[in-house]
Amino acid sequence: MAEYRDRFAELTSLGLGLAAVSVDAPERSLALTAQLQLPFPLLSDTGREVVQAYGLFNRSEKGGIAYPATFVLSPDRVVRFRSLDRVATRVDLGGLFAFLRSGLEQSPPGVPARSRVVPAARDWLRIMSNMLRYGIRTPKP
Amino acid sequence: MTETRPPDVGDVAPDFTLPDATSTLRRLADLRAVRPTVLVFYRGHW
Repeated sequence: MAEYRDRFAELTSLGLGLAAVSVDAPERSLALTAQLQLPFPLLSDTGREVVQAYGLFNRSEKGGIAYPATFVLSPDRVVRFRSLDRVATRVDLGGLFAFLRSGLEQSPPGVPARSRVVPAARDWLRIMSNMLRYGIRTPKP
Repeated sequence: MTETRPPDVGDVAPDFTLPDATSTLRRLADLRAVRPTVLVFYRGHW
């Protein structure tokens, strides 16, 4: 939570909100908010219903808690980014911010502009006709 | 009962209403209405 607090100004400048959910009661969330000086709301899912609805219910600990996870939701509540962590308590903020800074609507990176490597049929036609017209030229040594 | 899976990229996240630390009810749809939101689930204070 402290890490999110430290980068909260960055999130706000990117135009994003932040809210955190756990199964803690409001009293505990209030204590944590005061202790860490958190600028964002901590929501209490004491009934464990939201955690279950999100498939993040960890039965095996302390009577049922949430698995750590981070989602970025667009205004229509569609998931744009998801990071699940079933083991460690920390979610990688580097990955989250890399996604946010690259723009929420960007298509996956690494897709080249050209869709094919082999020349199209039209190109073959041009190549063949050039070969017939001009002959095959090779550079002089 | 089948285990619910976490919503994936492209899915609509379930709406909910939960109390915040001051016991004020907050609805996810309202939190997100204006701008995108980072929603974090954490294990909880010990």
